[in-house]
Amino acid sequence: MYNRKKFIVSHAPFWHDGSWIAQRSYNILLAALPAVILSIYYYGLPALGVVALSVSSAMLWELGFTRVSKTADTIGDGSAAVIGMMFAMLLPPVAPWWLIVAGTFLAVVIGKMIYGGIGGNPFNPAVLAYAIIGVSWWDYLNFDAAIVNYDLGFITMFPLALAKHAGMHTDLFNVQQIISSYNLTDLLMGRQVGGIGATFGLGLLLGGIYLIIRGIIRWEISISFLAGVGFTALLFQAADPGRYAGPLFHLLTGYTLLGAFFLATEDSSSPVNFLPMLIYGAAAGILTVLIRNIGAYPEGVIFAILVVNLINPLLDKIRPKALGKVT
Amino acid sequence: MSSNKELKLAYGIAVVLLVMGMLSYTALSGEAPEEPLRIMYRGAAGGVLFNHQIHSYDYGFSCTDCHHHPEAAEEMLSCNACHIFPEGGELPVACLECHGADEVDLTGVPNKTDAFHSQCIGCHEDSGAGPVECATCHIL
Repeated sequence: MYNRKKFIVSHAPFWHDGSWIAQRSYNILLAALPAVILSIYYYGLPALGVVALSVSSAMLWELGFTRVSKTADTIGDGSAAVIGMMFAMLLPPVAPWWLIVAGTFLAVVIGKMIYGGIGGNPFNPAVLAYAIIGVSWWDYLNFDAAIVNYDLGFITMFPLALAKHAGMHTDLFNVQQIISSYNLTDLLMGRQVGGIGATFGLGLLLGGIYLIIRGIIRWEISISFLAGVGFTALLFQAADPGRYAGPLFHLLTGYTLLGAFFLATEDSSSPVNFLPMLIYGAAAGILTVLIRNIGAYPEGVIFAILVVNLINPLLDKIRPKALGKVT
Repeated sequence: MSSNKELKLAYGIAVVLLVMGMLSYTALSGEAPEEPLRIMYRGAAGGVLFNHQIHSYDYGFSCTDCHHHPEAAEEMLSCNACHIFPEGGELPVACLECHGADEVDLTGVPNKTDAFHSQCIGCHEDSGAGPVECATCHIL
């Protein structure tokens, strides 16, 4: 006798896999920790202060919003903590407290809660906040200026800014010589200037792979983002190696790895289907290098992700063909 | 995990991190070193990251080679103390700490930008070392 129950179909969802939102959030925080801890090791209490204040203030802004709007407390889902962590990872290791509190307000309240909370935000909240803070108080986000009191034993200039500057003044600088002064091991091991959670290439790679294996982020977005960055940088370098850095340099400096694994993959602002995810990731990667190489800013990940967040609803319209036939 | 437990955990994390953050910015915040390692000068042409440590130690300059006034002082005045002139024609506070208002004449004293250009480029040219082109110091 066959089991007749096997043929009874109920409404979706068919099965709960046991995961819950808080679990996803804490996994993301866990994956981010290696990169953050290495920066705290290099920069000490100031960096710890930035991270602690960013995560806690993000959570408190969300708590404050839910209290004022008389809705249920949502900080238990860990989403606010993740936003605070992502925002901290973008910041220099030394930053004024008010900048962090203002930034997390923009991220949590303006970037997420006013759209209805988790799942409703059209932009990555941390990236949006960083962009607003960046155009408002750019000086405070200058990595080189933030760490003037540190003797670190590696080049204390933001690699992307130096490479771009050299490319603009080829009569004075040799771009390839500057790029070769940052060796691969240094870039992978966090011996470079950048955001708190953006410099430790190896840590970000491990964190990203962990999130992919756990099914928390989609590999399609991360891989296509990295491919977009690498391929575009390769084209630029092939066109004029005297002005433009190569793919490896672009992949391991700035916010590239942070963007690929933690920022572009944010659930609400990224597509859900296979092809849209590939287009979304690749577009972000291509735009990143376009902004870096021919735009005004040395770093392009922030604005690239915001722009592809904008096209996300359009990409979501590319859907698999429905099964069956409509008569 | 029940939502109640999730909330309690979140409250705990928020409070602990808030205290940690506040302590890092107040009681545990370190003092900037008395002698700077590097100084970022802002300018319309791009920031200049000046390596104070290399100039003072590796190149063997004495403090008064740059901090030229007063000539013998235990504590060096920063360049900004004298070469930034307050708006409204007032005298810099640093001048009035030692001099009366009627003793100070700033005629011929260059403003900060001119003072830096003259000091840096002049010294680099005299010693035949160090950059003199704009874009070699003024980086993005």
